Amino acid sequence: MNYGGYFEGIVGHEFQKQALWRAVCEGRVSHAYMFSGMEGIGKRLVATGFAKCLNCLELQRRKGEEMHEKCGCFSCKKIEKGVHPDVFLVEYEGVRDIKVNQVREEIEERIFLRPFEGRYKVAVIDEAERMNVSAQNAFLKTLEEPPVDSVIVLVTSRPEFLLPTIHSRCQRIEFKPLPFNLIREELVKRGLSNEEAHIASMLSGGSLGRAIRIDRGLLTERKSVIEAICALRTIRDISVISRVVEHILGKGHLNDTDRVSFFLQLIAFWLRDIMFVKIGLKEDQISNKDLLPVIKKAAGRFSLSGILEILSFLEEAWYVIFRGNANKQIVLENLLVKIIDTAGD
Amino acid sequence: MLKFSADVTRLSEKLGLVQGISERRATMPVLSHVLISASKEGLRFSATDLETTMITWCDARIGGEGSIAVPARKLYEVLKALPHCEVEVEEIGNHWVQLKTQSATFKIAGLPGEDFPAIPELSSESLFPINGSLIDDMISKTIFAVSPDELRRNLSGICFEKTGKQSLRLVATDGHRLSFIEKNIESDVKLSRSVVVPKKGVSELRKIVKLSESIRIGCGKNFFMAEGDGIVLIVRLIDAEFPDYKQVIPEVTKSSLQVKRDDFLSALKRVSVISSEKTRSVKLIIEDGKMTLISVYPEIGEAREDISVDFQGEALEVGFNARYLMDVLEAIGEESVYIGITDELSPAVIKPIGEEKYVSVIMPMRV
Repeated sequence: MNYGGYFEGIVGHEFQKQALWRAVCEGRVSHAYMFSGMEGIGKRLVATGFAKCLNCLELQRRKGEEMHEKCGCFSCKKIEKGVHPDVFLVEYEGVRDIKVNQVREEIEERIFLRPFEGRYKVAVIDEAERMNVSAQNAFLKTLEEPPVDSVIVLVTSRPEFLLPTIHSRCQRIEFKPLPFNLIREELVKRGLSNEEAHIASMLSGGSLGRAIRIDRGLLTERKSVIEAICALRTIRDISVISRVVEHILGKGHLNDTDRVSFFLQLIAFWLRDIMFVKIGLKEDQISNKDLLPVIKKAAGRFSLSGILEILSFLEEAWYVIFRGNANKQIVLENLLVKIIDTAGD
Repeated sequence: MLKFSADVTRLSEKLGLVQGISERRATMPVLSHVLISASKEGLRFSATDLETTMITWCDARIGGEGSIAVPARKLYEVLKALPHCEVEVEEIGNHWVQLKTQSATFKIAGLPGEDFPAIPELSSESLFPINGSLIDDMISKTIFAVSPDELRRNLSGICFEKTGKQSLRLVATDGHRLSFIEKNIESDVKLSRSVVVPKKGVSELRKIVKLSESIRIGCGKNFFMAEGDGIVLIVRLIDAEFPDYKQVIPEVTKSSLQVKRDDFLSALKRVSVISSEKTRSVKLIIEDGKMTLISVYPEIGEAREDISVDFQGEALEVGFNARYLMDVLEAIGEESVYIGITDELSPAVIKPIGEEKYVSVIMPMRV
């Protein structure tokens, strides 16, 4: 199945695409949908594809045939560019939350007029969970009974923040995290090396968006950081430890939380690898495959309980850095000391 | 590529007609632009805010066909500030336009013409001619009753309805009051169903009527259209059903009275000064040959005025929002009006005494 080519270029979510495509083909389009699932997996892209099928000028022709490229009709082009008068995206504008006024002005005022040039008016509300309670309540009436030729799509990564009354008025479509191998393939297509793509896909937790946002520069530093940590032997050599910490923090990136967060995750995956080696799992489960010799060597120095201890320490370190306001340098130094201290010789 | 030359004054005059429509708040950047298209048929300006769309044509010597969207305000300001002369306009690639006079050159960044919303086609078969001042009059007699309440979308416009081969009816209501007017026109009314035209679109229609005496109006599937001399207005219809208003118009009322319009209106104006800003409530006590208007508002004071009316029967007491009564009386041109009242809770009917088929229904209020 290729669903008329409307979802071309969107990785995964076959079941969801098929459900929407069949609803369009069989004329069973619901008045409101809720697309839920973690961020960065393509919910909004699917919503755009859905808007395209609803309004495509060539739908009848494309329905029957195997189509592998995007439709080039005026309607689809306009939707792609975001200039279609009947397809509107409502976004959080960066001031606290989506308020009643925005719901009224951007959705209701437009949805209660007949379509301008398409068949359906499609309102896509991104980050719908950012609607505050009064905005959600104000929206209920429209959501329950929008004009016949309109479709409302709520896109959210936190459906639990939406009122139960909103949930009950929408057809729920749940999006699952993407399989790691799909993300890896996609990253390789975008020019990452196999190892980088592998580790990035593991770090992404199934979100392609997150995987793409991971800094390429950080990925290239991964190897040297892990090797440096593995090479640490004694806590007496304070200057070596602080050099590694400085490396992790990066020069001139002192406030780069993404960087610190990346390396903390990396250390967690490294510990996980060691654990896997110790309990004898297959090699393809390991994130840092290219560093296997180093990891194997390290596996000899750590006990399982020691690794668990470090991991809970790491969790605490994460918490005090990102939820509290602890000095990153000191916390990281402590973490390294903990690692060295736990390791045997 | 688009290319033409034309007289600056003409251009800015025509552009001035449409540029007011262009949206300033940018929900979609292209909406703050005006679409300039040059074809064999001539030079065309189109502007839209997706609710109302306006198109004008302008005389020009076309050098190249094409279309491009140009920021409406900037273009208008430039054209207005240029001295009377001939201007050459040309698309210079990458969606830029160049305006050139003998001494000045302007380059303005635009957007591709195909990004502009597709302007709905006007099928002249569905249009029928109507006298400009007639439709203007019909609108002015109903528009005040349009609901300002943004939650009641189906009431936020005037309903156009065909009631006979050559008769057209306009209805507006906000749930507390309703006005309708019916007129016979000289040609067939080509409306296949009743449609609700948003208030903003109707106001634009009144502007067009001032430009050309005879216009043609009609409806497509999603749009209401009006065509005047070299100007076209297209209004997106409201996607909701107008309520069945006929059932709220009482066919008979228990009592009725006649009163001079001017007397009633001016007395209302005076008495309602002493009434709450919010409710504007005024009590009417109607007895044989006399109507007393009373307004009591403890914070301000009280007012009382008698006017003579043509009434016989049992005395009545009923309260109204004076604003509603004044709106209707101001719209009526005839000398006297007929008022039908049943009791202090049932809807009252106001009609002019004369030929005109104009009826207003107003709900009383408890005073």
